[in-house]
Amino acid sequence: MATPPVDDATRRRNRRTALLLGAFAIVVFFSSVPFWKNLIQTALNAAR
Amino acid sequence: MSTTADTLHSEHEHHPYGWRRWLYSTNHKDIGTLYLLFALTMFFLGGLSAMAIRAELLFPGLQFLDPDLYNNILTNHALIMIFGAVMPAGAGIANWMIPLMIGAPDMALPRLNNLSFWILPAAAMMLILSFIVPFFPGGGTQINTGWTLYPPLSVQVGMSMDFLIFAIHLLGISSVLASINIIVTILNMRAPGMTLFKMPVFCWAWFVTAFLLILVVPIIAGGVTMLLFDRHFGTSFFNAAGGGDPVLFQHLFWFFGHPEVYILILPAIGALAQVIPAFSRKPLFGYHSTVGAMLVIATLGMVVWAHHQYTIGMSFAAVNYFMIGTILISIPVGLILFNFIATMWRGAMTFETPMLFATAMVLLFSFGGLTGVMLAVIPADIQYHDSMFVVAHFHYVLIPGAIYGLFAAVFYWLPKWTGHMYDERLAKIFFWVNMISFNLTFFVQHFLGLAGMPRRIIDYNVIFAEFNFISSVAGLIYGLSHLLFLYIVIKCIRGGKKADNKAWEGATGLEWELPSPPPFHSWETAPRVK
Amino acid sequence: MLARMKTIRSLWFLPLLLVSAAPARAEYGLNFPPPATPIARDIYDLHMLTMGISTILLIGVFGVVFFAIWKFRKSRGYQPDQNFHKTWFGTWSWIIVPAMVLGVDLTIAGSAQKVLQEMWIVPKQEGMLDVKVTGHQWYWEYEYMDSGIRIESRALPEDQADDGLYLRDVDNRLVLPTHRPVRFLHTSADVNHAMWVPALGFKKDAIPGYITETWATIDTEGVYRGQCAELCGTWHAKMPIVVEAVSESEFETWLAEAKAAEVAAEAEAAADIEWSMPDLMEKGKGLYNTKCASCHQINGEGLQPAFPPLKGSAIATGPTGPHIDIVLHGKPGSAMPPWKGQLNDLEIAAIVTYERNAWGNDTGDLVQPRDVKAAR
Repeated sequence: MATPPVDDATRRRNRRTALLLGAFAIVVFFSSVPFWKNLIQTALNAAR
Repeated sequence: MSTTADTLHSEHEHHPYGWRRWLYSTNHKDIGTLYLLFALTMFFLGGLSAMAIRAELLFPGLQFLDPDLYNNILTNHALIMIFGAVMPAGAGIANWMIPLMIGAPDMALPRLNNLSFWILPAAAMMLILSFIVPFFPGGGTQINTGWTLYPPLSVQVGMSMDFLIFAIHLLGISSVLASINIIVTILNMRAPGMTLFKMPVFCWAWFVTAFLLILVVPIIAGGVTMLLFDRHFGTSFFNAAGGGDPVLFQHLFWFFGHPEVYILILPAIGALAQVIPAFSRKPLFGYHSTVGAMLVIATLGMVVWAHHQYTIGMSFAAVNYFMIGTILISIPVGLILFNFIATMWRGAMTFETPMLFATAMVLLFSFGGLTGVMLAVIPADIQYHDSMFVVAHFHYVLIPGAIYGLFAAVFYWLPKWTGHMYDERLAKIFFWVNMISFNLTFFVQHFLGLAGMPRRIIDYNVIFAEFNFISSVAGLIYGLSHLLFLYIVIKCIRGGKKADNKAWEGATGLEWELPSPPPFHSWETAPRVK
Repeated sequence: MLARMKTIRSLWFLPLLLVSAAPARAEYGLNFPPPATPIARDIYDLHMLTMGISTILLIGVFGVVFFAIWKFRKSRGYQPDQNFHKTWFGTWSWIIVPAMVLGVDLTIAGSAQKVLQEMWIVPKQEGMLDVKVTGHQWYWEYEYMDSGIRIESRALPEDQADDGLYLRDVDNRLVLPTHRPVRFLHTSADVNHAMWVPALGFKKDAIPGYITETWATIDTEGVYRGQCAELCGTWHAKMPIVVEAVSESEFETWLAEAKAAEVAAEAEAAADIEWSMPDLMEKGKGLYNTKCASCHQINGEGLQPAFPPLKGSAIATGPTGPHIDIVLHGKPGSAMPPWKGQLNDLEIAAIVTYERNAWGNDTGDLVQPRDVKAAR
């Protein structure tokens, strides 16, 4: 397949950064259930 | 280094042709084109549903839709326009332009790029299915919730809601993957000397947008997953009778939904930061403050979500915080608009179509922004909330803010993409028809809202008849005007005056140093940026 | 203040009226309806203030941009000032502009504080009239908490509504006294709704499982109209709210009459008499057409797929037991609500009898109130 002319070091670096960001997105997804719920509710209770 | 270059050279010789070129594509320009064509198709689908809504509201009484179908179409219009048209259009332009603008040969992760596009047609299929399954035997009821999908109403809906939830998951995965790719490209693939603060503002805008996407899209994915569990697996996340909280969904939705507005608008603002200097023939006024303002918008935009829910009965302290936070967003937005106007100031302006759209965006987005400040003020918002005033407001924000920005970008870069100049005369006609009919359509809706017409109603009292009539007639003209846009784009793809490397006299940036259209691997040898 | 604002208002809308060139008619709603409470008046003034500030800013922006378009164009031979962004103005505008915008922001936020606090914090005083407002798909239920009077308020069909008031007119109005603070407690029996009467200056969501509060002291007698403002499914457009504000003494009279009517209805339902078919059918028809027909339709044919037909249906033509049961307890997971809390035995008996004998369902079954009582 026609992938661009990029050297191996950059490829590795790209893959690492992408995996890091992907892991971050997954963490955010799972955090939405308990974490955001708690954060929002704590904040609102405190303000009540 | 030279050996790598040799092996790579043989690799990029045999790129596929025919349908394989598109299906297997790892080329940022081809994928960008696919994104743009996909967005254009969905734009017309979403437009069709808008036409159905306006036709129904032409006169009081039920014309040709029943209430469930009306609510279905209303939901469909919002979701298709947001997820199908504006976001993919922005991603398409990002795919095309970011490697060209930062001096990279392609996106950092070409295969991921292929994946993130080809999820989209599948997602679109799911999305469209979710609107049409109720018409098949046993298909359950239609989606009648609006794009906000608030439970308990969304729990009542039949299986179409499950299709929709799945579609949102797919769309979310696609945009998170695309965002990852954009961030990695911008971080790792810049040409030597292209520091972050020499990067064009368009790239900055997408950099910020991509981070926003990664931060908020998983939240809505979490929200609709909980909805799915409530519907089928007996959980009670949002069911008060089971100890859950229906308002929690609203918080999760708007935690995503409000930054989503900036996700739609920031790329358009970034494009404007390229277009306005080019046609003013002088550098952007306040590069650093524009970038800074975008960062502030993204940050503030994440913490003011509940201004969409002033009526749910929050405490005084909470609503007061959300009001002040929301009003403060006018500071970075105002600064960006000021910078654009100051870029025009003492320039040598010409008004080709991209500049016409850019100027219209500056003016009309100011209008939408100011009604936004009015909406932020809670006592008054209690009257505006969920009325046609809100409908008018967010169309004044999203059409000039996102769509005019995208039109400016498309006309600005079409010569680069196709190698041909578009028909300037037709494009100007398109602009004027579009801009005037847009204003007639939505300006009058402010009055409807103030006089007490709620949004999302299929039938209305006769006191609202006159303005709805004006709005519908102008709206139908507005919708039809886009056929002219389609014609201009097709005409430009098929031929026209040859475009130079630098298609516009005042244009600056790396993308204008490459031929139009650019070679297969945009920058085989990275340019040096001073 | 209000008079001055009205002048500004008419000026503000002048360009539009010229553009649309439509005949100016009195019922053209261009702005909020006349407010009927002190807070609604404050809100109106605040709205005019923010709209005024916005208009001035917008005129400023348009003025500057159009001047620039006229002056700084290539066709006039204007030479671009390549160093404009490097002047002192370019260096410091990033702090000057935000400071100016912040000033405007604080003016707006500051002027909102007083009225926000006043409207948001519901006073806890004696003598307030508590009205519980429950949203249903698709009608409103009002309960006067002190006197226990409960009324249901439904949109009138087009042929019964007053002239030009279709979708803004109801069968039973919410009657409220003037000059007495009223506390509204909002909740919902099914999905989210929102009560909105512009003249009273509030809008509040009705959320199942929540009770949200608002309050208003109406100081002008009159009839005020509003609509449900939160999308609540099929007939969201058909949930008007009509408030009739009357003097305290008229309100007391009305209250007494309503109480008497309620007692009479209860006595009728409790009386152990054998009801005849024509009586039950007539009662049932009236009840069915107001309470059931918005979903199952007047002709009993329903609206597929959400609302099943009753004409010839298995429930309405089968044994009476399950039929009474579904009306009493509703059908979980569907839009069919339980009616046991809202209708008395006689009413349910009448509805069931009607459904079993109308539209060619001729089962001949006669359901008596005591059958319903037994099934509760």
